[in-house]
Amino acid sequence: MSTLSRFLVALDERISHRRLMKEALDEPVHGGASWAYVFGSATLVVFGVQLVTGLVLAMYYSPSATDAWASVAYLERSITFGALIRGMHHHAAGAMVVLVVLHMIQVVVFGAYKRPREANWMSGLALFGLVLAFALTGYLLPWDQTGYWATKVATSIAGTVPLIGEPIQRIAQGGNDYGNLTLTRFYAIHVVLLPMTTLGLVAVHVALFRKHGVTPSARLSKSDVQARTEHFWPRQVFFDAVVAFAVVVVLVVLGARLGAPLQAPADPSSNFIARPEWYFLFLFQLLKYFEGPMQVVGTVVIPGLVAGFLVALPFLDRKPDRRLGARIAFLLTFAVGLAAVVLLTLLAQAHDRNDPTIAAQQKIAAREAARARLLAAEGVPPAGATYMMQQDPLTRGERVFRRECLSCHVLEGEGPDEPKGPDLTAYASKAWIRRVLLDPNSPRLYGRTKVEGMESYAKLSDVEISTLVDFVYAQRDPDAPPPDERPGAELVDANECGNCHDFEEAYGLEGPALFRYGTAAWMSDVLNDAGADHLFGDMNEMPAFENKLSESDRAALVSFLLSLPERADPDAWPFVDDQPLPN
Amino acid sequence: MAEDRRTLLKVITGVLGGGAAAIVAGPAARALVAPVTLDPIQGVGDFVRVAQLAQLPDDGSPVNVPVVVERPKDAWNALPPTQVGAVFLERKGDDVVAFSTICPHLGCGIDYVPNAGTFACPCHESSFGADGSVAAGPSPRGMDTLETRVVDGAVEVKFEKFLIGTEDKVPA
Repeated sequence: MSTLSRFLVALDERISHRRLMKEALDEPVHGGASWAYVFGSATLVVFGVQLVTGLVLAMYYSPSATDAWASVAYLERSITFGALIRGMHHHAAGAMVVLVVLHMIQVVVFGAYKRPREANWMSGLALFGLVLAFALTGYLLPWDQTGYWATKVATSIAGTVPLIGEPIQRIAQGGNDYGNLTLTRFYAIHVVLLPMTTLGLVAVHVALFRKHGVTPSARLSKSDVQARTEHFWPRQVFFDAVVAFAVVVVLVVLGARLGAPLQAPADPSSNFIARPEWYFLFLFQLLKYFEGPMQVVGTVVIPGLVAGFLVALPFLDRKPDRRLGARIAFLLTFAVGLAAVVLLTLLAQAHDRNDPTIAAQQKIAAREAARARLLAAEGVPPAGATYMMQQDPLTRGERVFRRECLSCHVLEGEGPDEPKGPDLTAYASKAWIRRVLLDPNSPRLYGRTKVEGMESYAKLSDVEISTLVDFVYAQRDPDAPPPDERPGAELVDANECGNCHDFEEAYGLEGPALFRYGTAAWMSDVLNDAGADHLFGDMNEMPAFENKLSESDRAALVSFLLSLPERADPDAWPFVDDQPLPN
Repeated sequence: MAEDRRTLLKVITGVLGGGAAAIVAGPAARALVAPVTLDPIQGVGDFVRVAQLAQLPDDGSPVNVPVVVERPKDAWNALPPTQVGAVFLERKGDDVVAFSTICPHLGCGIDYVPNAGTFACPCHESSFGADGSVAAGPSPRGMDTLETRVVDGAVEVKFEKFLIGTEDKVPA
């Protein structure tokens, strides 16, 4: 006997592992192995993936309102395979829901919920509930905009339940509002309470399954079932292994290619449009149909009835006959329910796809998320990622712009239909200056304002226009030669630009002085009072923001305006309905 | 079922099961051991200004001064100026000798005992002479000296850390 065999024999004398293996693998599969039985084991395998990837996430995660987002961004940025692991965990959560539902459909179709397997069925339903609880609690943990706002909706719904709603909501969120205690609570539930409960319930579920065995297809006769019965090992194990392997490969591919989303840090002062994960969309859609006092129908009554129906199914459908034809009413009810879930999900998705507001919000969200990650790479202040973003001039400036400026100006296609002021897409860039030279009185520039007097210079050649553009653009460059020594000075003279615009100091002529045009100081002047003598004077209609906005808001706004040329699509101007200009 | 086919099934099952486990456990294990090469604490270990030369006693008796780093990083955080440790400074004319306060035995904090003119670690009763050499107790080596320089009258210390428990002083 080899050393290994002697060791195994000795081990077996002590722990009886051979008997354990035999018991695990020699379980009879009545009616034979089948691909229909793979969903339970596949769900269990994905749960295993969640335990492994979840452990890694927990090692790098900090459950506090100031640190949660930053720690997740750090994992994504600095830890080898961190983004992959998080992506797998994210997609595995969706896979759990899909597999549990497939498992349930198989059980319903085979009639496997019937006596004596009522307890199998109900422990399975409880596990389904745990899977959803995992998804709900995990969604909040990154403390990003989507997680924060979507979960807020969920706990608010809990708060609308009559009588017990408010204490339930307080217990769920750890107090009167979201904060540190919400995260510590959700974290403890997600990584301690739910996994332990799930492991215990899985043990019960599997033990009950072993007690009663699989439910063979109702189409097989008794003698067929007997004739085809085989051991769990190797064919059923093989089927299970094939599916488990395929599922894991899909998760790795999804994790690697798509990763997991991480929006900007949660900001209670923003107006983010929250959407739940796709597997909760049907509930979200359901809410839209019940208004006012009827809301509880969508939040509690209908979901409660569905859950009640599922729990009661083995007791409603009591006849032992498992053939499909004998259970039409129940199968139809189940199928209609399932179809309704699918339909509601599709409706929710279709609505969001066709809503321009949502599309615009998603664009902003994507930009803020990218900005947040860029800033976080330099280190997040101890005051937290939300604070970091609120202090960021660009982010803050954009918010001020949307609040104060978008009612009169268009930016990158967003804004009023008949803007009172010029389109600010790529504002003060070379493209923008060129546009003003070619067609200053276009309705998209100063055509709708009282600013008048400048003619189109479209009669000039392309080269001449470019020279003038470069000349004006150089006004912001502190190292550029003085205007009269700069290339294009003769062209400026020849076209009498200087009759209306002062290039050498902030002095008012017919048009605005272009002294230091395009610098922060110039932008700040325009913002503070565009009606100043050296700017638009009497022609100005824009409010003087010096008195309307705080100094820090104005500074943020200037930073934002300065960023417009770089962030605009190079082809963004003209980007929609401009007619080609006559040469 | 033919024996060959059963064997093949077993092999494929083993390969698939092992493969699935490997492609999950592999990246997870790699992510878990990332700290082997990761330095989450940054900005500490360079020369830091800790005192003015003129403020140190001429007689060379040790002074405990805090080491404040401007903008240290701890994983995802960039911190405001933070006290990351302390050093003992002893003036030797126009030069300064700096000792780490971290005991080379097991990393406790060393105190100065003015009456005895010695250093002592309260954890395991190592004691050190005023020159940092081991006087008594379990410490495997004397107190760790740190590089110093004097720039425009200001004392700067290179705030390094060394391996604990070894006979030789090796940067950690």
